[in-house]
Amino acid sequence: MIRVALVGQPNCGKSALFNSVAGYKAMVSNFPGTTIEYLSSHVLLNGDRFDLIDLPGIYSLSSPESEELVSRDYLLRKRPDVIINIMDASVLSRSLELTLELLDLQIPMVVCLNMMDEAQKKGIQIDVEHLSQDLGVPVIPTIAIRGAGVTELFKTTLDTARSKSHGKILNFSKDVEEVISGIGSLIHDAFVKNTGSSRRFISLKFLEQDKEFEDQIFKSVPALMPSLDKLRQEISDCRGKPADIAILSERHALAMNLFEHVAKVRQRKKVSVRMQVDKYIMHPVLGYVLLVGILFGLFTLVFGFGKELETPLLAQFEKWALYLNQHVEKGSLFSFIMNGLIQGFTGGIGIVLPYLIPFLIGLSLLEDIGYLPRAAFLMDAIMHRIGLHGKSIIPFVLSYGCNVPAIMAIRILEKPRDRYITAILATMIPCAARTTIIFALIGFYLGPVYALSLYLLNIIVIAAAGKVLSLLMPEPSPGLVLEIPSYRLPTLSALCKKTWFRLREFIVIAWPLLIVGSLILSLLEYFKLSGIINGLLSPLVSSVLGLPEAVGITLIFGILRKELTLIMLVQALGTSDFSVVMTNAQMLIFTVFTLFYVPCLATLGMLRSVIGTRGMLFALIFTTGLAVLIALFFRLVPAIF
Amino acid sequence: MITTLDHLKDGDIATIHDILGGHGIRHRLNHLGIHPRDQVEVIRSGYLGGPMLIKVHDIQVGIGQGMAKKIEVEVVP
Repeated sequence: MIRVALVGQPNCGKSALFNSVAGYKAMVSNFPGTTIEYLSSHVLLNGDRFDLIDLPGIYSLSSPESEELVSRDYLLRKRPDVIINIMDASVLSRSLELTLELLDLQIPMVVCLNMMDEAQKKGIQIDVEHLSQDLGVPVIPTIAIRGAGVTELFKTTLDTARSKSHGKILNFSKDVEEVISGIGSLIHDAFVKNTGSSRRFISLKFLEQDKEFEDQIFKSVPALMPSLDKLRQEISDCRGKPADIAILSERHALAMNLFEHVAKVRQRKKVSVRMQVDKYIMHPVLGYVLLVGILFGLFTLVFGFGKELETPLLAQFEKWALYLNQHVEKGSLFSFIMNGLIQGFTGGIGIVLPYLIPFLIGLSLLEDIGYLPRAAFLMDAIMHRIGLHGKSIIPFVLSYGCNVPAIMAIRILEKPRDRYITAILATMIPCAARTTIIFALIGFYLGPVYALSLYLLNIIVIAAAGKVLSLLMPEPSPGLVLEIPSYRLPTLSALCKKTWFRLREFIVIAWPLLIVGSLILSLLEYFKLSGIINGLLSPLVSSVLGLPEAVGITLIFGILRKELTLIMLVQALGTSDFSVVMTNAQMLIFTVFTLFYVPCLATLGMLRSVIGTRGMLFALIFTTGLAVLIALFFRLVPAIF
Repeated sequence: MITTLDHLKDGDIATIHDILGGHGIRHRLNHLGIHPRDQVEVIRSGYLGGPMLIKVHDIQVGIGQGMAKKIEVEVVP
C-alpha cells in the first residue's frame, strides 16, 4: 500500500488536513524508543486506499534539538512513497526553506499550499503554476480546514507516488555547490544507501555541522574526516562565517528569490485585527486576568458539569450493584468477582463521561483557537523559575480536578524533557479525590487552617521538586522562542475527531487497568488477604510512619482510586470517628503520605502512555520516596520540640 | 545606534544587525524566519523578566529576555 507522509512546519494546518481524511481508526503511535508520537491512518478516498502518516511539525530537517529530528529519521529510515509538503501560504518564504531541504531527499513530493485564504487576507498573491515549475513538483492550493482542494491534493499525490517523479534540485551559489559536490564525491555509495538519504543531503548536513551525520561519517569512514573538514573550512574562509551559517544564509536567499519570483505582496490598508486582540490577550496585566478567567472557566466547566453528571451515574451504578447482590449468593467468590468487575467498569465510566469528555473538548477548543501558545507566553517567566515551559500551567491547573486529563494535556508540550518533568509534578497535585481526604481528615479534625497549609506545602514541595528535576535534566536551549500563530476558527469535525482520538486512548489504556486492578482487590478481600498485606506493609506503615498497622490496606486501595482510601479507612479501622484510633499527628502523617505517594492506576496508565514505562516507574519511585520523606519529617519534627 | 533587542520599547521598529551566540540560537531563530537584516517590531516588551512579543515578516514570536539579549538591532527612527 502506498505510504503518504505529511510534512510541514508547526501550525501549517497539517492536522486539519489529516483529520479531514483520516478514518476514525487513526492510531497514535510512538516513534521507536521515544515518547514522541505521530498519527497514522488507513485511508479510503474515492476508491483509492493508502496509509497516511502525520509527522510532528518541523521547521527544518536539521535542528540542534534531537527530538525535532524524529520526523527526519522517519523520512530517512522508512522512506515513504510520497511526501505531502504542507505550507502555510501566508508565510510562504519561510515555509520554502523546509521545502528546499525536502527536495534534497529525492523522495516523490507534492506541495500543498494551504491556508490560501489567510494569504489572500494578508495581500499575498501566489502564482501556483510558476511555483510548481520552479520546484518541479505539483502544487495544489487548499484550505484544508474547509476541505477545499483536498480531493485534488490526494489524487495528485497518488499519481505522483505511482510515477515516482522527483522534484528539481535548486542550486546554491557556484562556490558552495562546488564544495557540496566535492564532499559528495568523497562519500561512498554504501554510506549513502545506509543513511537512506542522498549524496547532496549528506554533504549539506555535514556542512551544517549536523551532529548525527558528522558522527555517522566519523564512525564509518574516519579516514575521510580531514579532507571533509578541509572542504568545510573552504566555505567558511571564503564567506567569512562558519559553514553552517553560510548554508543557512544560502538557503534563506534561495527561498527569498523563489518567493519574489512566484508571489506578489500588496500592501494591506488596515491594521490586522489579530494584533489588536493580542494586545489585550497578552497584556501584562489584563492578559493574566484573562488567563485566570479562562483556566478557572475551563476548570469549573469540566468539574461543575462532571459533578452534575456523576451523581445520577453513581446512583445508577448503585442500583446495578444492589441488583447483583440480590440475585447472587452473598459472600460467594462469584459475587466478589462480579463486584470487582462492576467497580472497575463503572469507575472508568465515572471518569470518562463526566470529566474527560467535557475536558477534552475544552482543551481541543483552546488548542484549535490558538490560545495555548499565548498562555505559555504569559506564564513563561514564572514557570521558568522551576525550569519549565509556560504551557505546563495547563496540566497543573487541571490536576486539581483529576490527574488523568492533566497527564493527557501534557501532550501539548513538545519536548520530552518538559513532558517528563511536568508529568511527574502534575501527579503530586491533589486531585478532587485527594481533596476529599484532606478535608475529611485534616479539615474536619485539625481545622481548615491545617488543610490550607497542606495545599501551600504541596505547592512548595512541587516547586522544589521541579527545581531538582530540572537540575537533573538541564535544558540545553537558552530560553523561549515561540511562534504565536494566528487565531483560527475551530471546526466541529476536527474538534470531534481530536476528542475521540484522545478519549479512545483512555479507553484502551487506562480503563482495562482499572478493571483488572479492582478485580484483584476484590479477590484480596474474598481470600481475606488484607492481614497479610498489612503485615507486609507494616515496616513502612508502623515502623517508619508510626501509623496503626491496619491502615496498610487502605494505601493499596488508594492506588486503585484515591477516594477509596477514605472509604477503606472506615472499614479498616472499624469506625468513622478517626480521632478514636488515630492521633492528630498520625492523621497529618497519613494525609501527607496519601497526598504524595503513588498516583492512582488510571494516572499510571496514562503516564506510561505519555512518558513511557521508565518514566512511569520513575514517577512511582520518586513520588513514593518523596511521600515517605515528607511524612517522616512530619513525624520527627514534632518529636524534637 | 546599535543596541540589543531587549532594550527596545513597545512599538519600536528596528533592523536586526547581527545574531550573537552560536549554532543553536541561530538555527532556532532561522527556523522562525528571523535573520540578520530583517525588520522587527516590538509589540509588547518583556515585564519582570518575562518574554517579549515581536513581529518579524508578519509572524508573531514570543522571545525570552536571554535570547533577546543576543540579538543586535539598529533602531529605525
